[in-house]
Amino acid sequence: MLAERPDEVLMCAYQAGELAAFEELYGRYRGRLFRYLARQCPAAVAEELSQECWLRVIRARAGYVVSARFVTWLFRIAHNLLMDHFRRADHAALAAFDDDEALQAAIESAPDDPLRQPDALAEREALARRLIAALEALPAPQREAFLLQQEGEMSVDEIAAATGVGRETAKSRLRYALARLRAALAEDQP
Amino acid sequence: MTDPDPKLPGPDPHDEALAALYRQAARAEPPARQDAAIHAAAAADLKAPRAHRPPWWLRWRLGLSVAATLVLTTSLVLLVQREQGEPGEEARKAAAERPAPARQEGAAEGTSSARQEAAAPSAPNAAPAVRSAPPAPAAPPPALGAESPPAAASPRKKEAAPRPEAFPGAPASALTGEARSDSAASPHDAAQPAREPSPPPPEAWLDDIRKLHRAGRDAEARNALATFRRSYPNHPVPPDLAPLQEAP
Repeated sequence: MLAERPDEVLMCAYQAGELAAFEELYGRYRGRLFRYLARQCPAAVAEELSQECWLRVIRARAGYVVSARFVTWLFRIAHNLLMDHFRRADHAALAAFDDDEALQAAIESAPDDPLRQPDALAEREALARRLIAALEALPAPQREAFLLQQEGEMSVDEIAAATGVGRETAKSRLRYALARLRAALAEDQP
Repeated sequence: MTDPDPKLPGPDPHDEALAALYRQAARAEPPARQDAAIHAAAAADLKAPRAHRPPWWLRWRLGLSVAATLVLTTSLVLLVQREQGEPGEEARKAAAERPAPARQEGAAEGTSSARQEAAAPSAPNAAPAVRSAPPAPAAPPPALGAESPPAAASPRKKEAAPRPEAFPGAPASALTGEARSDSAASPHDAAQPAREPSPPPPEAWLDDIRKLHRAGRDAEARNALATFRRSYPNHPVPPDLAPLQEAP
């Protein structure tokens, strides 16, 4: 069993010819990358984009240079593939990425009440399903920001780098997503 | 948990309750076929020979060679055009300043005569180039008509009368602008070779001689007629002026 090595070290090891290093790296992010895509497009498209993303990582092996965190680089590739999909098949989602003025207005009106965690497991399960539904109802930019934070465990700066926007825009999108999700889950709570 | 004031730099927006709820809900995984495909691709890439990437100057040799050829060709063309253009420009200037043929019996402006004097020295040198140049432009209007070329360059001089000091008997009204400009161009005469002014028109000249005769100034009229005969030896003398030819 390989010792816990940083992502970048694993990628460099794969670049040097170590297949096991790539398999370790793939195991860490295969699910997270797939879920990031699956919450933003149909399941069949998510499978296709996920596979294409990993193939691009493999093709970049020879010229790989550590210029950022591996996870940031990986999700930047996934983000670009997602944008290409939106250009081909979902222009409404693509347009939402340019509507920052509406985002700012929405942030001001979004409720900021804390989420009450139910005690019963069943209630939490139901709440989790409602969270997924509310997540899929978010505008595409805000949904993506939330997913990058959750699946990629990325900071606001890394989210900004992966999506090609400024730090404040990334931060606003994330704040809006959190506020809207809390509001959606709090609607039916007593 | 509430987000910090966005106006103040602080931690990133985060909601632990939402995060925990999300981790509980997020269970989707990629299909097994993707795992197999990715593993196979990763292994195949390691086995494939790494394509040797030539250095940048080898990859760009075609473009660089084309660019260098274009630069050299353009430079050579410009250089040749510049060298060929210098003698040609002088010839074009000489041709433009060359006066019209002497068959014109019009007057010439002083400015045009001055230009001819300036062009005269270079005319012989430019003759070979001028021959190959396009024909001289059409004769200018009579008022700007040029006199015959200088003796060194033109054979037409044979047709002109011997150069008189003046045209006696030809008042100012009959004199050409060329003649009037003689005095105005006198400063140029000193520096330029001698030129031959054109005589006034014969009919006007004879009229003025006739006026002198009718005024009783026969000596002047006789002198003017003699000069007229030298300028226009083939022009017939009117019968009323014929007696002036006889000795008094």
